[in-house]
Amino acid sequence: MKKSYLYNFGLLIVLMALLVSACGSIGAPKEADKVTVQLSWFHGVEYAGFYTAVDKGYYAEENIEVTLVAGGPETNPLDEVANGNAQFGIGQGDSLIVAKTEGRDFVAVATIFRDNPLAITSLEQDNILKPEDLVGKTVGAYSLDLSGYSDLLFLAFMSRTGLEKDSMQYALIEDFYGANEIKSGRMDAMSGMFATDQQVMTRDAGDEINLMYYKDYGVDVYINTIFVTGEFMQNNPDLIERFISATMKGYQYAIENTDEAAELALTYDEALDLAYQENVMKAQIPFIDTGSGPIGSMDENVWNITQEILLEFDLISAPIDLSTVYTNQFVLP
Amino acid sequence: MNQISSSQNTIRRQDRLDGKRLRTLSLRNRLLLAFILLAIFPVLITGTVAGFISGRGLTTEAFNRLEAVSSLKENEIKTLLNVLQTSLDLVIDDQRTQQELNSVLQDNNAESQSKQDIRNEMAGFNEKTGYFTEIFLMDLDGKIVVSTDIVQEGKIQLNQDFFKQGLLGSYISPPAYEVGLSNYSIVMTQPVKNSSGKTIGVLAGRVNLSALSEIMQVQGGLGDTGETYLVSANFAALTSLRHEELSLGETYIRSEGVTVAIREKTFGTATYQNYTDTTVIGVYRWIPELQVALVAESHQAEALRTSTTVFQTTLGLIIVTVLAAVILAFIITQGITSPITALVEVADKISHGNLTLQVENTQQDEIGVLGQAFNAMTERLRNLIGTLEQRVTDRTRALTTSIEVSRRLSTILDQEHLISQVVEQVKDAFDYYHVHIYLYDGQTQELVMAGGTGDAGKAMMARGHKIQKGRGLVGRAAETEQAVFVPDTSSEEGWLPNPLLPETKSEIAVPIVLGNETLGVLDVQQNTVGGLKHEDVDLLQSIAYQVAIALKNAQTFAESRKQAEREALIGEINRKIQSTTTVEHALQTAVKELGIAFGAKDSRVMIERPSLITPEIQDGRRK
Repeated sequence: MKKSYLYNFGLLIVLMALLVSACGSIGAPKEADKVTVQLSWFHGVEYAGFYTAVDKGYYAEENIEVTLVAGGPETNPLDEVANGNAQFGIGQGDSLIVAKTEGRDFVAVATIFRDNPLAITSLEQDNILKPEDLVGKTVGAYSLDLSGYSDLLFLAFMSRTGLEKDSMQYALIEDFYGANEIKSGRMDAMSGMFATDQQVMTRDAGDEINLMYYKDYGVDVYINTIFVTGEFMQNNPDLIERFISATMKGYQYAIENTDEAAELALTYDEALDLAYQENVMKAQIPFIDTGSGPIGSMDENVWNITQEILLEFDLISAPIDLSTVYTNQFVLP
Repeated sequence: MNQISSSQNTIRRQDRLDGKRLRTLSLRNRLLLAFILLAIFPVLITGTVAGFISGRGLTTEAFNRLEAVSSLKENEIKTLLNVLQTSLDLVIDDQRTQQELNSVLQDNNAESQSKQDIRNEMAGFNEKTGYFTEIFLMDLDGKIVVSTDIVQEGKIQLNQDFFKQGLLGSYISPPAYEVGLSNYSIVMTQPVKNSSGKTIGVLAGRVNLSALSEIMQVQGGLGDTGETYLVSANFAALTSLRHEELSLGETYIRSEGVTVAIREKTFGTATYQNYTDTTVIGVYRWIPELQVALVAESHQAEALRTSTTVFQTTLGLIIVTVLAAVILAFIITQGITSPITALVEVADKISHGNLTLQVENTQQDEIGVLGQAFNAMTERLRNLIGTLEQRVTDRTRALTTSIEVSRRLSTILDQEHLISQVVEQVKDAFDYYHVHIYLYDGQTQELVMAGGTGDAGKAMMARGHKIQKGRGLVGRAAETEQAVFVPDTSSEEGWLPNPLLPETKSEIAVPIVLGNETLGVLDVQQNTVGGLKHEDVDLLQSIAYQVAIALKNAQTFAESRKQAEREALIGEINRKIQSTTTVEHALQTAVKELGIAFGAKDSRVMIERPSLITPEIQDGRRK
């Protein structure tokens, strides 16, 4: 008898507590989390998912207030995130590994492009289809001796395809627009070109190009991961999950509505060309949504490849635990 | 009248306040509405139910058909996959190829005869079957060593699931977009083992998607709008669509069917909006072997075409019925309400005092009866009011007459003149056929005719017409001292016809009574049956009473005059007697004068002498 009375009393307390907490959550809406995102480059459809998530209210649904800050050649997203000017940054996978070895703790929580879009481009008529076809040709590069960081993946491509550095000549790419450098005869192919916009530009200029993707030859590095500091991740796992969920929803919408995505990009930079932005948006769909696995998610193999390349070219001295550099835990399947 | 109509107005207003909106509609409109609703409801209900039932049946049928089609296509896909798997086995079936594979995989860099042979072998196979767009061989590093597409050789597939899974066993990769090929591809892989059973590479076939497309394109059982298509797990359409241009890698489909199939990896049926926002009946199933959704859809409009026809027919029927109902209802309602309206109008006019109106009525139904009743009512009202006026007029005239008669009678003291005046005036005033008065002679117990109108009256007077008390109408009246009224003489027993008054058809005999004395009878005759009424009886009684008084006056006057004359005579005789000088002369004068006064033939005076026993008779005879 006494026991049942106590039980009932306990039940009452629990119910009241539930009621109070329910009232609390209803009565006082939590203030929105304010978040700044440091983009890796100038505004453009590459960041369409963010634009869409803002515009469609996906962030608002998650009670997040997002500020998007454009990047540029002078801005290093890693620094911006490290010093707290931004909570989220867009950066390359390899730079995160390098930073880790330098003692700077960044973690990639998602990636925009799930495949590396870098490729060696050549005019279709030149028939450069396989790595061997490059032998004896002049290849455009970011530095003549290929010592620049931007030429790193080209070197990795050579080593994986068995191309000898000496079997080709090199020329410095000065005009990045389309295939102008090739048409002018300065070079036969250009290395390290973005398949997404390069393709659109050359087509717009009336040329068809062949693309030899690095990723097809085992050189796959994430070029635009969304990262946070390890500390931020430790303290705000819920916020990150909500942010990533909203952002990916934004990307999903953007790839399914490329016209709207392009228009939204223009609201961030009215100097952009609408048709070009839409074409680029279309071109990057297969990199965002490869069809295998959820968008935003990362593959351990890609991180392995990245680390191997860094080790191979002595950019890091020893392998690190890759699980400290990236996580898929926030990307909902 | 005014009061009645205002109270009716009050009632009407009350009705309006109490009643609903419907009540404010006129009778005709209400009937019209009722007719139309009665006409529409059955058609509407029947049509809706029929449409609904046929719609449900058709939907079920459409679902069944789509289910059958999609099931068939799923089986076709599975069969195709089996065939592909088997055929991939056949590529490295023979001994020689097996050996060459071993050597190529061991030393994969250099172009060799073996490589060429394998390439040819694979290309030959591919040409024959057309199952694959590319067949290629990967070494343990994921590098493509030999491929039917030379360009692909040297590419590293280390990251690809089809390589990793292919090392372990037979595998089919779900469709993934291949940027290098600008296409989705499904890759089928299986390990290549050496003679000792060790895995030395992976053999892969890139499935020719057109084979899948072909399966999807077969339109059998899909009708005009039906289609089947495959959607990859990332919601991208894989095979061409019937109602929209497919842009491979860019066309995403997120209809309900696709979403449920992909999210829940399940089979189901539903009605939803498809990729063109058209409502479709859809059957969706998940094909786990390929990790794709197979969707079979058909436009709902097409499936429901028959039931739409039913609905359209119903609609047409409703329109026709409504039109017919309106016309019929109009005619019938007009037939019912116009007489009522006419009645109402007539009633309204009657209420304003016009009683001469008649309802024109040709109908045989209740309204006709109502109209007749209405007419009867107005007629009776009219008659009532008419006779009432007549009676008032008559009564007034009778009263005036009776007053006039009384006034005149009061001045007439001569009985004979009085009676002749009474009969003449009564006859003239009321336009009777004949009027006469009898006076009662108490000694003879007879009623003696004292005056009558016209020639008949004179003739009867001349012959001294008499009636025994108690005999005939007049006698009865005198005896009973009550008025005797015979509205129709022919049906009255004991009525005595008078040959001088042949036209008499009705008669009233009123006793002339004063106190307990019956003075006579006033008899009135009329030459029409029912020409005399009770009103006449009352009237005549009042006149008879006046006559009684007048008669009594006249009799009294006559008697007092007689008295005066007698006294004057006595006075004259006395004077003459006094003027005589002798007794004898006085006596003679007395005798003579008394004889004259009494009118006697012979008069004498006898003187009694005291000495004489016998008186002497004086000769008093007139000579």
